[in-house]
Amino acid sequence: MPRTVVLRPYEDRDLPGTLELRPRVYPGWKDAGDSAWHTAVYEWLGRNPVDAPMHRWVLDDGGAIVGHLAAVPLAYRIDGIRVIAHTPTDYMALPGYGFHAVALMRTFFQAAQSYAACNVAGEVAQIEGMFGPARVAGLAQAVKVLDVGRYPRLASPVLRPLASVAALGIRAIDAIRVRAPGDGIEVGEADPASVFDPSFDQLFEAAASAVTCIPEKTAAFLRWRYGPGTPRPVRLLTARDPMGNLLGYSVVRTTGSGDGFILDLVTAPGRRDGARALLVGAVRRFWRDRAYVVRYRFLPSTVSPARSDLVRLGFRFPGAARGVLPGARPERQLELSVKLADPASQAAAVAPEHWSYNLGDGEASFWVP
Amino acid sequence: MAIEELQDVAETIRGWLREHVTGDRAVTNDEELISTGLLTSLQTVELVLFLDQQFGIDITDDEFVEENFNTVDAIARLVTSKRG
Repeated sequence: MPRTVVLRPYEDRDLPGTLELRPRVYPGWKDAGDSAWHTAVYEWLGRNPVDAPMHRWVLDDGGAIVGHLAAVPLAYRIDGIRVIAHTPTDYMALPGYGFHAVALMRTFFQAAQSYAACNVAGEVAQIEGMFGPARVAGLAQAVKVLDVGRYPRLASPVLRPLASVAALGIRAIDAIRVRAPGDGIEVGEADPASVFDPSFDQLFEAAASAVTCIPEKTAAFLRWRYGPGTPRPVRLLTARDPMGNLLGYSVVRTTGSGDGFILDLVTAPGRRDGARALLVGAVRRFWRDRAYVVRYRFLPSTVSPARSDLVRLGFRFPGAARGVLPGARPERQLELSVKLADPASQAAAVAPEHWSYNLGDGEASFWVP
Repeated sequence: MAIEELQDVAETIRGWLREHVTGDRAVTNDEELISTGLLTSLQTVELVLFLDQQFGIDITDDEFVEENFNTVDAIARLVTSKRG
């Protein structure tokens, strides 16, 4: 019997339908059925300080919700101009509704004046690609294995005793690597609920003056993104000079399964000493959190660590090396794409060297377990 | 539009569907592709790209509607009308 599928804006009455849809579309995602968490995420998204509306649409097949897409507004500073771009998120449709899933994305691109997204390369990126965004770059993927024995691809029973020895070796080497970096820089842990004061606005303005394209990470934004109510609580590290001035910050998170993520790391322009100190502080934090691997995905810039500083701390860049390195997840390559309404902004934004960008800046990281 | 052209376009689309969607099963001109859920999202995107490359047409947002894609006949009509 022919179906009548209606694509329409989301209404409050669609909440149960979308909550039921998620685990059907993502049966392998253990949080997909966590209704309270997903409801809280949308309450949090609704408190986004960016002064632009979030949009949501559903596919309604005779009263059953069979598809969903949300458009989350995020602000960027592009060549000195504030640009608000929407990012598609929570995109899902049941099998058998492929055409309508593409129609959902088409509706997004009709509604959103500007688009920016950092996607795992794959089906969603291909669908979005149909509507004309330009690929900026793949994020650099730095990986540091802390505990070889817990690394799934290496932890066979035969290798496990060797891996335990290797883990001890890595720890011993790291103990040397992460000795206090000197330079008089103080790295400390801060409470994301209260730390984001005007000094973070000053830091952002300094970064935005040195980098052509950067997500607008003001104190208000950071308070929302990482403060109370954030979907996944994080730890925040700050780097300060001997006078107490903020040189930079890093946001880190260790998942329940022991994956360590550096979600964000921003310094004042050119302050590699601050970046090095924050990296050291992050690695120490991950050791204490018993993470087995640290992943850091970013676009290098003058407000990020240098690759050489990461390598010195034992990070590797799997995509740039021969063979398969421990920790590599080529299937998780993240790509930044943009389609901005203003042609001058678009021209500036398509150059990867113009960007400062971190994994935590994109909506994909909102859902990381 | 010429009947022959319409038939040629339909045959090309059927060939693509057989190769990329249905395996060895032939698709008829009036078989419903969308309302039966035959096309996945990725196949939909690939089909649009194929039409673009094969026939040199650019499907606009307004044309990307179920009525234009639900059967081989409908797609062929869309293609020939744009080539016209």
